[in-house]
Amino acid sequence: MKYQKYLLILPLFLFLSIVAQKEWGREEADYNEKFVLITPLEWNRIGNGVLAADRELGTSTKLITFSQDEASQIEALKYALRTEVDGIITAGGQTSEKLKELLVEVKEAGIPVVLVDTDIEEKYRDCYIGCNNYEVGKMGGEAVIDIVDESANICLVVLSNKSENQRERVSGFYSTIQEFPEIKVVSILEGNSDLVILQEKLPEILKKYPEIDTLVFAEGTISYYGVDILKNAGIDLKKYKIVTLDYMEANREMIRNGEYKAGVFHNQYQMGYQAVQYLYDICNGIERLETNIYTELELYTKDNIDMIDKESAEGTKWYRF
Amino acid sequence: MVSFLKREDTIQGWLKEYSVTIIVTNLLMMTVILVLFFFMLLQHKKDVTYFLQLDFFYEEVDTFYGNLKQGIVAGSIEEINNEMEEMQNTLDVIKTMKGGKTFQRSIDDLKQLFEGFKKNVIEFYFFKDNTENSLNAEELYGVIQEQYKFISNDFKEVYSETMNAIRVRENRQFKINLCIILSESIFLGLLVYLEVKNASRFLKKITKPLMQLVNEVKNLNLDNIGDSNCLIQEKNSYEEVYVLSNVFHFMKKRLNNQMEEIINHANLKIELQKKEMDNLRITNLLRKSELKALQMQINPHFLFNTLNIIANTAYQEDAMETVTFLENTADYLRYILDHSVKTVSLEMEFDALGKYIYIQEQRFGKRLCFFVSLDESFHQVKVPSLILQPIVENSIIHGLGNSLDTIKIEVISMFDRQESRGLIVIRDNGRGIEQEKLKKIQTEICENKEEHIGLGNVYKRLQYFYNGDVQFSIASKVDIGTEVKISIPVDIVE
Repeated sequence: MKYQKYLLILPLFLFLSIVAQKEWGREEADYNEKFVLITPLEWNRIGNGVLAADRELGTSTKLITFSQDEASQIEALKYALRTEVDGIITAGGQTSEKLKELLVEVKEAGIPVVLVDTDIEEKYRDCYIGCNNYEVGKMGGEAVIDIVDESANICLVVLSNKSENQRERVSGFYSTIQEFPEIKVVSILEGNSDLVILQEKLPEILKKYPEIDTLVFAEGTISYYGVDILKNAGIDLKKYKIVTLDYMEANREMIRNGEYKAGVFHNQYQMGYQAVQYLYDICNGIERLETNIYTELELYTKDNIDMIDKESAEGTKWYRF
Repeated sequence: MVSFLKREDTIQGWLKEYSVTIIVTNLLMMTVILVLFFFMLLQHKKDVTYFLQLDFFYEEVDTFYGNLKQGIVAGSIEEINNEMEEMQNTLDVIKTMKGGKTFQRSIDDLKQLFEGFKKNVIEFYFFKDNTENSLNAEELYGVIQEQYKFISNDFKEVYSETMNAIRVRENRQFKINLCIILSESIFLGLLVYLEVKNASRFLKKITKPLMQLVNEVKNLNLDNIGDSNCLIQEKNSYEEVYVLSNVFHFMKKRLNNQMEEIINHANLKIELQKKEMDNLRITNLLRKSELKALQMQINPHFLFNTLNIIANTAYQEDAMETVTFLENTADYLRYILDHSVKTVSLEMEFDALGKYIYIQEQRFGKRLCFFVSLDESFHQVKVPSLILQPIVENSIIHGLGNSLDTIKIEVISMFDRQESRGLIVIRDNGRGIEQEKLKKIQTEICENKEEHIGLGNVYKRLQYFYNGDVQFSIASKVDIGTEVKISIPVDIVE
């Protein structure tokens, strides 16, 4: 009976088994379908959504980011083609003919394509999963109406007028403010996501139109760098009410310290997750008839920023082209 | 294991258990550490293999592509195919590495790219020599170039993923090792705690009873040597200590018994010595009686001859009273001489007393008046000789004194059948004894002082003869008289 103390070994082994099981079983090495997510930036929120879906569905999605030039995107798509992936998730934007040709080649190879965040024509993709850009524009307009005192002279900074999503956002924006004649768009700047252009043109416009008191940033690059550009140009930020139609981690701090008055939150996590879910369903013979899937939108201000997107956009590992 | 390790509750058993615990614990620790070490060594060996395989793969692909680029690839398509198969096999080896999903995906992509590369290279060699298809060869070469570029990039990724996977695995291994070591430490900690507790109990189980034993030894004296309480109980101590305690108590018991024996022996010796002293004293008394008798005897033969001559003369002269006197005197003297140290019947003692009374009546004439009342039913009882004469003599001597008055001496014997005791009473109405003197006499008789040799002698001899079962009393009152009572046990079979 005295030797019952050796029974202490049993809980020890039990504990070790649990630890070992937990450690070794933490990551399943096997996967069923392999996809790629190709995006111009390291969109960690989309990446996190993708990885969450991978864990849930047993798929594997390689996160690839490319430089802003189109050649890199094309190369990334070719890589996806050569590695014979089961599905491609990418972003649209200013899609060239060459890229469109490649997308056709991809589709001909039987690889389904899902576009996230930015859409192109339906024939080049199977589904678009992202925000409803018209709605984004409308929410931006409503935000401007809320924060200005009946009248406002607005400078709208967009990616390009050729960009479908930008056009939709702008039209959504106009649809809201058109009922308020005192709220006018004085100038529209096409920045093409090019920092050189933005640094040069934005201060020029503000100088040219001193009546401008409201800035609406309709795309990601200006949303991210806008404050720095204005500060670097020696412009007093207090003169302007800034509203962004995009959402990035950096915007949270800008909202908190009052540099931005409002913004439109796009649920990128949902985009990533639903994109993988869509491809998984197709690969597994589940019919998906939707060609557009819109994710949640929410207006964020200083008051509710801490309630929005509480999950941190923790870093994901990206394969760079 | 449990039954094998069963022990008795002994110090030896405990030490055995303690040793087994230490050995088992050390063995366990050593085993766990060896297993961990072996496992890590194995993993390290595998990791080295993976990296060697990766290096080999990339070197081979790179060399092959370099040669392809320079147009110096030699051998038939089959040989090229075999060479590429070999390269592919290395990837299969690397694929066996458990590096997680990302690693698996990277290696799968690399494999996919290499398979495409291999297919296109073979195709390229097929078309190369065919001039009609030179356009296709050029296109294929372009694709091969692109694929090589992807392979090259993916290789870097796989390399990095391999490193990463090893790092992740090492981290996990470290965590597991830490958990194992921590758990083992907790286990050892618990064991040590239990052992320390056990050791403390062990020491307590030894020291406490030993201290009790030491205290018992310290406090051992004649008063408590007989205590048989064994304070150390078997359940409270180890067998050895319990045995030691029992041995001590056994020794104490034996010592006590021996001491009791010695004391009893000593008591017996004292009693014996006392009895011997008593015997000596009695013998002494008897000798004194004898001496007194002898003194009285003077020269018995001369006296008897003389008494006989006087008796014959008295007979011849027809003096019958003198004859009787002389005969009684002679008989009495003969009784004294013949039975002074003997046991006689009470009847004989009364006969002798009768003769003594006759003599005294002749001597004192009318001054003495004897009244004798005897119950002869118990006169066969044995008594020491000459016990009545000294009492009667005392009554005559002290009762008469210098007085010329007549005194009455009563001699009475009675038998109490109920109590089975005989009572002899000698009473006189003489001068009596003063109370103070009487007390002194009584004390002296009891202490057997020499002054009152007569009564004391009688008393002691009676005491000795009846083994203390005799009642002897003297009562006296001045001018009233003195009374001596003797009560003796009578054992008469009817």
